[in-house]
Amino acid sequence: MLTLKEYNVKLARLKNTRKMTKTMKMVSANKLRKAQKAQKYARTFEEKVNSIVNRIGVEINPEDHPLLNPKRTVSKALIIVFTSDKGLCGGFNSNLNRKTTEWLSQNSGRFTQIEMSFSGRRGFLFFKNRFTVRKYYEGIATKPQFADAYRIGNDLQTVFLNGQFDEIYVAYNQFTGVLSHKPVVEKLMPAANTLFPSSSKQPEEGIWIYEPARYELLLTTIPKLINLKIYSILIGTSAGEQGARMTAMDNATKNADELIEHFTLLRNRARQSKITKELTEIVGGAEALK
Amino acid sequence: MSFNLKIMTPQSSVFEGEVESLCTPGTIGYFGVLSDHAPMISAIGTGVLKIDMEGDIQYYVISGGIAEISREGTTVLAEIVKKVAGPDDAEIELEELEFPTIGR
Repeated sequence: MLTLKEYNVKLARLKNTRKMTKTMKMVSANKLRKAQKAQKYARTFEEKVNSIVNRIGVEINPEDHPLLNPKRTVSKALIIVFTSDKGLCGGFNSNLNRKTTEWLSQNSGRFTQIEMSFSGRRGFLFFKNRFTVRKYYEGIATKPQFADAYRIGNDLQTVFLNGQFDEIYVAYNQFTGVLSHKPVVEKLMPAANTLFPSSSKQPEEGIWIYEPARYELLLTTIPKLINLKIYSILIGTSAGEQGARMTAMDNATKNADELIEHFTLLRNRARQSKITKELTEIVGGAEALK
Repeated sequence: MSFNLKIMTPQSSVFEGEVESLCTPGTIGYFGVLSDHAPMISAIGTGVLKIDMEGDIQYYVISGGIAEISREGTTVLAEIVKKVAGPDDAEIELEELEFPTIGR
């Protein structure tokens, strides 16, 4: 059993921790709001692009664009892992790292060479000593700008088009709701038809002018759709990180509360027994003097 | 006569309002839009976008996108849009776009 003093020190420490986790939760809530705003903009933009692409209404053959064209022999792959820069957000990064490791061990047989790129420090630190690192896009994950997505997208398209890599994958936390996300690994290039919205492929009624002609028009949008996809992954990751941190810190605060309650009880008990002991000593001393 | 114009990037809405005319780069040359333009979908190239609001002329440097011109209004969706003071500044920004010094 600890003494009264030791209990007090412990309680003070716990209260400090609680104060910290609570603040972190509030900070994250604020950052989450900002990230969600960015997401909203991106989503309206995406919807608009999709509705236009839909209106063009042409089927695309994978052979017609080098970014869609699957390579005949697949030997070199690149995987980009999108994590956050900072930890303390529950299983947000570790789940993704685990999923990526799983994917790597399942697919390593298919490729003669796998290289990895990273956005976000957590993934980079986890994998850097185990696999070949091609590039680490630093300082993007916390506050992604579209220019960053543009830079990554162009970089990836260049290495894909000049044949450095045959397939490019992305590993990220899919944003399924404010407090829920699931780690996924997806093929980014060669791009699948899923890049295009799958609803009705009927051209709009009426007279529309297409500049350039419909087919070329659609082809020019492909690289842009890939950049857009990367941007939505980036902002999804930053929003997901804040959401995950909010939950993690909320749990931590709750745990701290429980511990504080527990130790307050023990401290009071210790104090009471100390008083009782002192009293019996005084009473005993007075008895002896009689 | 004026028409509604929206210029959007994935990050923000750059411009929204009524304009008299719009002049923008396509992939095969510049084109202009006045009110009651026939419905059109066009790819957007790299260049200087100019909008005229009753004599108030604004310039933007724009790159990579798609524009939709319909009866309800015109929407320009682009990857990069940057407002510039005038045609001269636009030239400088364009060079910057071609030889980017991105990287913070």
